[in-house]
Amino acid sequence: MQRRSIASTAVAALGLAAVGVASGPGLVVGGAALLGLLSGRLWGGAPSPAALRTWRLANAAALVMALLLVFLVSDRLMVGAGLVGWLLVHRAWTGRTPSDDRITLLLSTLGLLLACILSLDPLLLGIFFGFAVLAPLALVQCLLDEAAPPGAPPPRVGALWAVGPAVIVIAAGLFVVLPRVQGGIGAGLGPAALPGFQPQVALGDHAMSRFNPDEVLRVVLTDQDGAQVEPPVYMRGVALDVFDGDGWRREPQNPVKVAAWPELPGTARWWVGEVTQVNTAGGALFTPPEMHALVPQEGSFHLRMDMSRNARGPTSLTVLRYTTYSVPYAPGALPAESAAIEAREAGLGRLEKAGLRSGLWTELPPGLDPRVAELAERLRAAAGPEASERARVEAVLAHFADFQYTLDPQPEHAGQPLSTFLFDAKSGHCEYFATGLAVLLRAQGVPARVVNGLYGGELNPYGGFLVFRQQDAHSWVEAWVGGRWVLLDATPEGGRSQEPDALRQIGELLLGSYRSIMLDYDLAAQLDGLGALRDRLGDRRGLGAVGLGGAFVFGLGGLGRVGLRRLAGAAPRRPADELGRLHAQAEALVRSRGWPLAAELPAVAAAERLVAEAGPLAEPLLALAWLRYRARLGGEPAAALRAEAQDALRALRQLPRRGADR
Amino acid sequence: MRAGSAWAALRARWAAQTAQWERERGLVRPTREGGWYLAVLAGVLVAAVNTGNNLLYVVLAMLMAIMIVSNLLAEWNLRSLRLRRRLPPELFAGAAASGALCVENHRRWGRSFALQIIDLDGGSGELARAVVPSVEPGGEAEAPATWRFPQRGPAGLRRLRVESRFPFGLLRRWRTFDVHEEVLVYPTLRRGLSPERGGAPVGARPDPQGRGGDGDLVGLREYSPGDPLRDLHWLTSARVGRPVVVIREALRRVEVIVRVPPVEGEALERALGEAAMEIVRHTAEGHAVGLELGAERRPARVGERWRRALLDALARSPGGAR
Repeated sequence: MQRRSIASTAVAALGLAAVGVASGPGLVVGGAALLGLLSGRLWGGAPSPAALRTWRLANAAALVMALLLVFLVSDRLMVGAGLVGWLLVHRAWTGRTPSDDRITLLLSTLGLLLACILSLDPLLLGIFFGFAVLAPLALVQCLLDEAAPPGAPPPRVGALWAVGPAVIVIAAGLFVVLPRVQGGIGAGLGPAALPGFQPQVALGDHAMSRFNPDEVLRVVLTDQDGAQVEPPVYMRGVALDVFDGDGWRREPQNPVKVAAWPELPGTARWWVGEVTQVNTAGGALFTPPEMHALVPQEGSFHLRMDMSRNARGPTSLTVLRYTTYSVPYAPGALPAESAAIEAREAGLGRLEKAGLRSGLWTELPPGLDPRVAELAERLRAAAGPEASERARVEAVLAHFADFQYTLDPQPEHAGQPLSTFLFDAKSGHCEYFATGLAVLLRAQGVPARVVNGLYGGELNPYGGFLVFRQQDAHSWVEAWVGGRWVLLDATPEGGRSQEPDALRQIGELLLGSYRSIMLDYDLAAQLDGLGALRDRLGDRRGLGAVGLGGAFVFGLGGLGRVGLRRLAGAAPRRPADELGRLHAQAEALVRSRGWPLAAELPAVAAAERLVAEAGPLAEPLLALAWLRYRARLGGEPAAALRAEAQDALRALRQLPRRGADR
Repeated sequence: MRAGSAWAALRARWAAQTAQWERERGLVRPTREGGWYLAVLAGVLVAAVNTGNNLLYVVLAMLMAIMIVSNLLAEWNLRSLRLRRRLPPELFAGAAASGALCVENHRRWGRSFALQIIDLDGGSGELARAVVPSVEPGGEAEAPATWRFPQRGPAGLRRLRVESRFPFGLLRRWRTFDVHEEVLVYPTLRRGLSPERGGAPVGARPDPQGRGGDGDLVGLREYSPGDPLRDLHWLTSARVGRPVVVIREALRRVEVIVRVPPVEGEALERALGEAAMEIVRHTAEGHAVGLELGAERRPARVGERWRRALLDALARSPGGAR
């Protein structure tokens, strides 16, 4: 295998690896493509015309299939990644020329591009590093192969191996200084949103992420005393208002842009959460229940709220950072009756009041199984005719005490998943529990809505933060009880606890560093850096240090430049060229005396013309030109002619200035 | 009108500036793959700016760094080079002339790779091209090149260009050097000179010493039209499968006077070509050759310098349809 083949195959493999790492399930496809690539390179000889025709047909079929999939499948980036993989394999089997290998490298670059859009995995950084080292080498090898005469081996790469590290150094500098000006035209190109946090969710969607350990949130949550709040903790994501029998959706409402909170709360009364959200989750922001205020850090994005207190940020950012202020809470802690009126009037927004008045949160779907209403009535009767709202809610909650938690619910009967859960299976996961509780409360006239969020959190003892993963996805209910929204969770504990793993916790700490250095580096950080530099410049000592540092860098650069010029520009110390140097000095002397020298003529002809004009005093130049020719073309040793040439140069100094009296 | 002249002046200034850059530092253009590469780079730039995804900025920085390194190394690759031609001593119009294009690397460190040397004519066309895979520092290399001049007479060779796609094949960078050289192109060699047409332009008379064509055999050569059949060496002709004639001592001493008839235009060009052919043929056989060209009479002599003098005279002959 040629060196070029090895290098370009390695780069292509890196492109495929990036796609595989980024696409998760596509890893298998990426691996298969990688195998195809390697076998194409190892065993695929020069393709015959018939084979090329077959490949062309297969290419057309792949393209048509990709176009169809773009319309049929929601994950179009994955289709693109698959197409890039296919084209890489195709090139490995059919391409043999350096030009083909360059196209392969471009395809690998496309693979990297797709991987960046699909994922923020730190493994990608290692792949980029390998790519930056290998791709320039492969490109150099392509060129050298092209330049070699047919049948001859290409020139050695030699010191050109250093281009890879040079690319890395320059790329690191560019990464720091490239301005992070965000346009936002490509909104929606960010990582795929978490399932279960979209405006419309079918029953079962939310459970899709129950086995995914990928991190979603990192929260430093402190209580009124500044102490870390212990897990488990609820982080509210999306509240869903309308139940249609199969799933939930948000009421389409115009979210209100929040420019500023009416009163920036002090930290004394609140739980304060410093949240770093690494998945856009369709724009949903995660807050503790009963959130009072949410402040984006450094004004990095605009915030919108709706009547269900859903906080939404941009979908285009890959990392969101914000601070939340929330009321300390306890799940199921129902307010005392006496506090109801006071709470009812306090803090309720205009939109929320309108929602309560319109019965948005007590509405039930028209085709709901009549047994649900009967069950609700039975539970109300069991609580007693004079039971308070609080007692009725507790009775409904108690109804689920005998239900079982399972991630594998029974198949639904006659398209009624809720009825199957409530009356037949009596087992399900959090979405079923939340839906059952909310529907039974609504059937009793109690406003209720389902909330999809995260529950649990693992305290990282090394970093002092809570980590929430996709597997912490959870559903619960908010019910309007006693004049405020109360968190009610009917799902039994079970299957949620996770053994702490020290290795994983250290890994997450490293991941945090990767995130803060690589992913969180933004315009604000750049401006901070500039500000720090300006502060240093304002300080006399700092100014001196910066000046010295700058002088040092420039001095090094200057020395390097001089050295390079000497290396590159000076003629080699060869005898023949020493005479050339003497001749060049002689020509410079002639010109300095104002005599013209025809640059377009050979040296001897130019000297003859000068002698014709200037007379015999110019003859030493002619002699020098001939001496140089004798050394260069006649094969005479330059050392033997050097003394004569030096004499000629000395004699030429007698040449007067042009126009002066001779 | 004034705006038009200002625009023309601006364009002229720009052209002069470009020419200066081309000589001093070189100009650069993307190759086909380089164009695709730049398109991908632009795509990554748009994606990075729109999403703020720092991994995209990493890829963007990497692609830009490759481009920067490419430009720096390309400039380095063409630095401190000297170019020259090695032309064959005789050039005939219309015939391929094989020579070489040479490059000297005057750097102390760093080879030059993948150089293409192009001999440019006055316009944008090229006269010859050669590829040099690499040149060691302080060394020189040459590669075969072929020139073809369309017409006889003095021809000026003006510029040599060295270009390279080093290091990554994404950019094509070139520098142009003013390497002036005047060459004299001899007329196109033509066979088929006939006494009927040319009015006996070629006259051959015996050696003044009286020796004829029956001297000792000194060698063999290929048959040319006009050779007497009695000079055929039958045995050798039969062995090699083509007619071969003997060269005898007496034949070498023949004096040939090549006479160019007083014609004009295309006919003159043809006659000059036929005369050049005769001069080449007879000098190769060792004959003393003279020339009658218009009023100019040159006696019959032998030798390489004399042969070139005769061909020079033909090449510089005025008139004709050049």
